[in-house]
Amino acid sequence: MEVKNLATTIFGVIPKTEGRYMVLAGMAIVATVVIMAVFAPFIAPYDPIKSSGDVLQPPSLKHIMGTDNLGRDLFSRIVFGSRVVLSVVLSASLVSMIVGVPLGLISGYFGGKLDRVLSMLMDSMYAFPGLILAIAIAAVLGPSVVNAIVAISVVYIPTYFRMIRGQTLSIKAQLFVEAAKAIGATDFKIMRKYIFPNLIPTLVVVFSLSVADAILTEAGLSFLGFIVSAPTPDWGFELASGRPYLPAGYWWMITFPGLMVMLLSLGFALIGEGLSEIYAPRRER
Amino acid sequence: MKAKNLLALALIVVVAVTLLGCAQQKTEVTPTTTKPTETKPTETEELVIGVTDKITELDPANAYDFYTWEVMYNIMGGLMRYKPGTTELEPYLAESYEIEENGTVYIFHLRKDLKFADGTPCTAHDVVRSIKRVMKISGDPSWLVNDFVKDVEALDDYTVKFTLKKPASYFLALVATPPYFPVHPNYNPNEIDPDQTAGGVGPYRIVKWVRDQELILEENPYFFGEKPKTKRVIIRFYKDATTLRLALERGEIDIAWRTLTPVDIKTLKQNPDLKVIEAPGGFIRYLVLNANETKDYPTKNKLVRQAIACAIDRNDIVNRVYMGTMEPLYSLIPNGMWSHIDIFKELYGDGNIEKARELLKQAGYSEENKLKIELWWTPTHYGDTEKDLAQVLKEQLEKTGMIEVELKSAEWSTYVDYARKGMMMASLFGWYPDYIDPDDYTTPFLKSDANNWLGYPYSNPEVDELLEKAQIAQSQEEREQLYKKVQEILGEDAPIIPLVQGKLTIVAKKNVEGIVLDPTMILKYYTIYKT
Amino acid sequence: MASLKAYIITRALLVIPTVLILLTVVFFILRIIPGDPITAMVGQKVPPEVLEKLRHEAGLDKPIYIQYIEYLKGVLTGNLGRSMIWGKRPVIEEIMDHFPATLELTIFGFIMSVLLGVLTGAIAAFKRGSKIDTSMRIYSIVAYTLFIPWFGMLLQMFFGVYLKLLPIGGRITPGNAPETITGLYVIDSILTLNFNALVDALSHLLLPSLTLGIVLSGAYTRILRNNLIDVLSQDFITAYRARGVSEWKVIKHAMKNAFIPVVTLMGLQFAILLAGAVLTETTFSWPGMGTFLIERIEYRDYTSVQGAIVFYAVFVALISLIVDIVYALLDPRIRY
Repeated sequence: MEVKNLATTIFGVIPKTEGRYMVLAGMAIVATVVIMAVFAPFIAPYDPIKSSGDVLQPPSLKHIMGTDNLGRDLFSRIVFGSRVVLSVVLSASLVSMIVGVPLGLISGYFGGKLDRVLSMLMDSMYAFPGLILAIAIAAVLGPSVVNAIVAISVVYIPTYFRMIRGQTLSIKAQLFVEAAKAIGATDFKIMRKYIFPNLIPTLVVVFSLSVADAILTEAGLSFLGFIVSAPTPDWGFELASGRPYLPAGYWWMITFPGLMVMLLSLGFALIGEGLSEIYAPRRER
Repeated sequence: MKAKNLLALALIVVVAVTLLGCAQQKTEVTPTTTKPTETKPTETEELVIGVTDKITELDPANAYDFYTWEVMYNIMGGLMRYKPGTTELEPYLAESYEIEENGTVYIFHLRKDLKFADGTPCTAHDVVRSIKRVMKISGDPSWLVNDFVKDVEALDDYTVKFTLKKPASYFLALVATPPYFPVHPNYNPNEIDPDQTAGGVGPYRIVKWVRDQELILEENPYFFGEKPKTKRVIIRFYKDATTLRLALERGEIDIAWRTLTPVDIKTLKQNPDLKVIEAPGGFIRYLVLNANETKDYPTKNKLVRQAIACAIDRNDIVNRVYMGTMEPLYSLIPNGMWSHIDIFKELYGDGNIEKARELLKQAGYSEENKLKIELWWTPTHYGDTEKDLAQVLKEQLEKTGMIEVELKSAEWSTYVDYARKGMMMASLFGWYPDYIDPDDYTTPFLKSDANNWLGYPYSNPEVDELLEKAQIAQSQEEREQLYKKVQEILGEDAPIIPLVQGKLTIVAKKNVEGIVLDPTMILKYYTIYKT
Repeated sequence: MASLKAYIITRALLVIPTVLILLTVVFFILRIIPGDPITAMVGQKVPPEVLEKLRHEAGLDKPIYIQYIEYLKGVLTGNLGRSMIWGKRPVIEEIMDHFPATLELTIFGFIMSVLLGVLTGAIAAFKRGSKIDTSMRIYSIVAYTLFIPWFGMLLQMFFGVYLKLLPIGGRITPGNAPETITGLYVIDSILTLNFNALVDALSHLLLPSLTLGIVLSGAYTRILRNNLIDVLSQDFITAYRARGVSEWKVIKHAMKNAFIPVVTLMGLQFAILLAGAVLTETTFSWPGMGTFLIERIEYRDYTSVQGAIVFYAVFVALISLIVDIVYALLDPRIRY
């Protein structure tokens, strides 16, 4: 039974549907930000925390994104801010995945009472507004990166659970699974060898899309002050800091951080959407 | 066909938005500018003030926030009051008073013409009833009464006698605060009455109150004193500073009071149709250095504290963090109050890096062995600028090359809790006075027992003695000398380093006159009028 | 053979554990971490004995599990306690002060999102295969990634500060609020024939609901487009066209059929709408539940925060319940 492998999809031939362009564009954006985060000290021209001496300067050759009210270079702050964003979002998503996927797989495979209880629990969490849940958790725990990771990961567990459970149910109904059972394979082996590999395409799509969403949740929490405290740079937080200066005409303090949030989220969204196009292309044209 | 529909839809949207925009502008123009211009100095009809503060509850038994107190000063009054524009106390609802038995008994003789806003007379029984009510309900500010007053009684219809637990020479200042104000009999005697509009004895009375929307005041026809210069005052509650500012710029309001951001104020200063009035306020900011012996903080070393005091540059703070809307402060007792001396300037100066380095060397630190300080701050309680303040202080201290500052923050509830537990090495705090007297700026910080909330027992018997003497002393000259000595010791020991003092800023239309800003920081609406 | 009644009852009962779990978690975490509302309010100014007395009066020195049980008892009777700060007003009252604002914003945001989504989806479907179709689909992806505070601020700057056309914050110019009947300014001003208030309220609603609406519209774009395309390719449409029925009528029939899945999407989007509303409220200084929650968190106003969470949980549960029941009514295959 051929298994659609992630590696073959990307490095091999990406089917020439329009999904291809979306995936490539998305990956380009994400790659840029990842490079920014990893090589931040080399890319950022100034120390993001220290004042460079020029207060409230508009974008110029010296400071391509301008400076803030304490004289700090905004571009440097954005570059370093990407570290917080990526680390929080990726860690949280990993945790959600590690918790949500096995639960969804087991629940979908075994069914029965366990499935009913878990589904009910997950459904009710899913129905509750994500950001508010994250606020409740992060706020009571206190602002910190770790607490934000906890809060955000809790929010997305149901998403992984539901998607994986749904896919498990449909894969389980296929003939080859029955065949495996007939030859006496154990449940665990079936799950590991036959079902899980077929979940991977869905998983990748769900991952991309929920990371895209998690970026917005992280930015929201950061904007409300629940993640970092000054002087650590973080995009959402920069937006909140720059807000009082906006009506006075200092537009650059909020424009760039918000733009970055949008772009990064868009990047992941494009990857997810593009991949889902590839795996389940629309039947027109 | 589809394109045409799109175009039609777009056109409708554009028209709708423009109509809404125009309609919006039309509704703005109506109230304020259609008043016939009064050139005679007769009473102004109406004044509109905008604030971003809220009124918490209209009950002096529990209200303990700044803005609600301001409203109460305008619709109620106490036995004593501060003469507008000064920090001098004068009898108000009382005609005269006597102090007896070494300052433990105060007898006030009430005026005989006191009436509440609906004509009900106000007598000594009302005063006693109101104060007993505050003591019973035990709300947040009730300690201002309970801590001092053993008993209060009405000797007759116009005489009130206070028996104090111990002498307090600033008792008269206390009597001028809202918990001591007589309130209308309609106030619920046993519970907090948050939306009660019956008020007290004051120049204005409440005519309309819509929580978080507006408060409309009109002159009190039964008021015994001078009539207010403006008949009707409308206070509008805005949700954020920018909307408040825009409302002022558009002419919807006459005065924008609290609280505009430093950036807004800077912009408004350049507006030719408005005037910006500034005055020193009584609000102070300071850095607390924890000398707790049991915790082994480096700040328990006096040399360390003095070094920090040297390195701080208040002018830099005022410029970069507050854009000039605060002023440097060199003592816990604020600028403009009697007995104030610029002690920290005398002893340490601003940004005195060389001296800081010397002191640090003496304490055993060097560039290799840096002094490590944890500086705590809280994100929202003191406004958005707090993170900038922490940041700038860090930069200033690190300029010595021998200090390393780690910034830590906690939101307000946790912050206050940590303070009480003495868990913060260095922390930023602020202080609004309850009563205008140097005692309120010294005792809560420096007197053993009173300063427990600071989380460490700064305890200097000499200071305790000086403060106690000053609490009892009757003459201002005597007290002034005592407070000067206290400040000198404060400067030498430096457990608390004063940073800046708030400036009150009010922005108004050019034709508004009579605004009086004084250290009480209360805006008295009854002196304002328009030309 | 399960019946519809059983389904409804089961779903209704499931609301309770959800709310309970959420409430319990928040209750305990709030009290475990340092800091409490009384200290936050007066901690600086008040001597320790007075602080203890105030805390005692607020019931904060009782053991946690006793506080919990007393609170639960209260909730079951509809009493959410009193706020611990400021006026110490009943939490229910405070929530009722703030909820209509969120409701109004949510309703208008919702309407905007559906309108925009349907519009863009329909355009995409009818212009299938063209560049316009592609751009609509790009719109549907990009729209959701517009970070609400950022997008809202851009709109504020442009329409509010530069063009000075629209207000940038609050629900209405202070003092212009219509008489309170429902708490929804638009409805109240219509009911009291207060044209001034109506225009004022609408102009304040425009930017925030546009922000929410645009960001949330993307999902509707996509779903409507796909369903519309499906429907348009079906036989009965070809039959209509062959019979010479006018194109408008064809569109009408097609839309009606394509709309059904959109309705179910509306139910699912509800949670996202409420979450988005929190950020919108903060950006536009809108005095709704989101602002309330965040404000009270800072002061550790336990009862208000708990009350807000309980309220959200109950509200969401009720709406999900209604949506599920409606869906079950429409689709006979769903039963427990």
